[in-house]
Amino acid sequence: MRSQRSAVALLLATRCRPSLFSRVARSRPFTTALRSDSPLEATSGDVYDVVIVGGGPAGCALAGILGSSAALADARIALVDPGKLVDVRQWEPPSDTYLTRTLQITSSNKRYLDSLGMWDQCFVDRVQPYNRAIVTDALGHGKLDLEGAALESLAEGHAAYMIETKNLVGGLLRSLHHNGRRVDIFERAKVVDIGVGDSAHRTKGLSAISAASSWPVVTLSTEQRLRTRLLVGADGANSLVRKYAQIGTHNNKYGQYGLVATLCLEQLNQTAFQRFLPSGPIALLPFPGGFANLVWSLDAEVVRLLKTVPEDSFASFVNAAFRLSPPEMDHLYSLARAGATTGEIKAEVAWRLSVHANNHPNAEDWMPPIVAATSPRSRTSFPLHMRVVDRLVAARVALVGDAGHVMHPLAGQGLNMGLEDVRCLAAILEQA
Amino acid sequence: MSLVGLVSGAVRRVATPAALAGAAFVAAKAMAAFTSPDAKADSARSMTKPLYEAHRPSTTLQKTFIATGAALMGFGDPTDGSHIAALGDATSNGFFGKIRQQMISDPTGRRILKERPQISFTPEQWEALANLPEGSFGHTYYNQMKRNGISWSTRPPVHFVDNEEDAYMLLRYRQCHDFYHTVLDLDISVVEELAIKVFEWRQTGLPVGLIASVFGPLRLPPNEKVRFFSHYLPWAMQCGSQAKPIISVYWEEMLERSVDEVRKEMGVWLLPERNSVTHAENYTAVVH
Repeated sequence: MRSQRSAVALLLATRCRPSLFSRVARSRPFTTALRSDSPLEATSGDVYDVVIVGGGPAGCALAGILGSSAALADARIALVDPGKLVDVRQWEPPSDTYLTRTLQITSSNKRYLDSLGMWDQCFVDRVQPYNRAIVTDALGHGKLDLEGAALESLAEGHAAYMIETKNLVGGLLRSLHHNGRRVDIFERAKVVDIGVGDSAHRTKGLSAISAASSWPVVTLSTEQRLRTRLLVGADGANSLVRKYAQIGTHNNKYGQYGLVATLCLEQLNQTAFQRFLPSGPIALLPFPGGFANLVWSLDAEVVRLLKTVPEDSFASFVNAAFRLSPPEMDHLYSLARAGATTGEIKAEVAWRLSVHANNHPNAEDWMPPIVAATSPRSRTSFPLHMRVVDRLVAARVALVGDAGHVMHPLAGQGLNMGLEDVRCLAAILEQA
Repeated sequence: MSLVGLVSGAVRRVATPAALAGAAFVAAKAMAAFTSPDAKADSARSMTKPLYEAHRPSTTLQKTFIATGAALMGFGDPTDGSHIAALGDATSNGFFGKIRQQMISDPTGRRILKERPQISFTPEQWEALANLPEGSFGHTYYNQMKRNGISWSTRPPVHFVDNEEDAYMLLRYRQCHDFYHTVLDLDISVVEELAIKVFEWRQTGLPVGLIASVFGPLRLPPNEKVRFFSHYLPWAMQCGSQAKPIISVYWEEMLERSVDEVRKEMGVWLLPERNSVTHAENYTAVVH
């Protein structure tokens, strides 16, 4: 972190004149800075201090934080996203289910968003705070009961919060809408090109002199061009900003997919459950009203299989996956492959679960509640991989969120790290 | 020598080892009774409640004692099946994965696990086997048992396996042992019993199979040892690996089928040297 702080501060200090940001706070020197480049000013379009590419949770959080920061009161900030952000902002949550793409927010990130007034803009009744996680393994001997209440660092609130991604992004956008008038939102604008300087005006003697001619220019599908002092890439795993900055990555394709679904449990639940199987971890995350979010890491063929079985069978598979041994699960998969009916699969699962219950009388204490049903059409999957950058910053570029680091969802830390990036970057920009 | 001298001499010889054994016994009991101060008040340690009728829950240390004792007694007197049975009980916990996978992935195996048949013959059923057609499995089985001078008898129940389904699988494996004699066409000499033990070990992966296969041949006289290692062992290793899982066979339904057909279905081939003149000299110590 420290090296990144100094790197960003260094690039801001040396690339532009030392106290330019303090000058920004007093007046609008952009016009003075660009006077010697009048052709640029006339034809380069909009000029910004910070352009954030990507309106996901990390990008919207950064836009909101910078937009409401007093130290950056006169900075021009833009947020670019190819989707319809207004639809997310005005999203009406379904009353009978929860979305499958969810996030875990840690206690400190929640407190931070709360302190900026952004957390309350989300639908708080759709957020599940929880304090307990039970982790087991495939052999049935290893068990962990993690109690957040035992954490001394947890002064108030809960250890973690489960929230739907759309809920969080919608809340951040609503907060932006109400407070951050300084942030220009370019939605339904795909980034077509990112380049350095304006090549059409790169005449002799001008290119090396003016600082502004080396600033990145983002060209959008709406034909607008945004020139920016700092380009922030919050555009996810396949970040265009990262490609522009030529930042190398270290990849690990796991060759697996995350199968996600929304499940209805037989009773209310406020505990997260995770079991480590040889094929990958399966996690059941709590939501209000007896709902749960399933994230199950599996090989491609099994994911295909489990997405096609009927929904009642799928609920049986989830119940089995938390309790039975791997050979028994393999047997159930081959039954499904052979085209067994829902009744047959349910009967087989019931038999194996009864044998398991006879032999392990206390096991249910460590098991999630029985899954009663699967929310209709909620089964989807996404590929799992790890991608970490060599460096989070480059000349006039900073990466936050998945653009900088994609990880396996098994500990729910992906966005939490993204929010830490955002906090760090915002703190640096406020100081610079 | 005087009686007193004899007795005192005997006592002196026995006293030190006896005292050591006693001390070791007390120490072992104390170790077994030790409870970790961090253990929750009502945690079961490694002992569960009885999960089936003949179940005797035991700690790991107790199982070690039982296994060691049974192994030594069984080595001394292999004719008593209960020693090997106890050894099998005590050492098999946690090793049932292969058998369970074999039974669950086979439709007949699943049926056996659901129906839980027990192999038993009333005296009338036993005599009825003689009336089965020549060349049928049941007839061959009956004749072989008669030729060897033994009859069907109940196997000792499973006591020390801490899982009810595993206990049934182990009992089934024990009850089917006699049928293995028929399928493999081996009689009851020590060498042939060891060959069957090796075959069973390759099929089931249970440690008792390995223990019996490794320590059993040590008892053999030299000429039989040669025969075992040159003929029986290689055949048993290969046949055991290649045959279909024998635990998933519903033997009760096989009695009327032709024995050659059963062998073919199992993927079993017979040892060519087994009933030759040389092998008829094998030492027969095992009496069921």
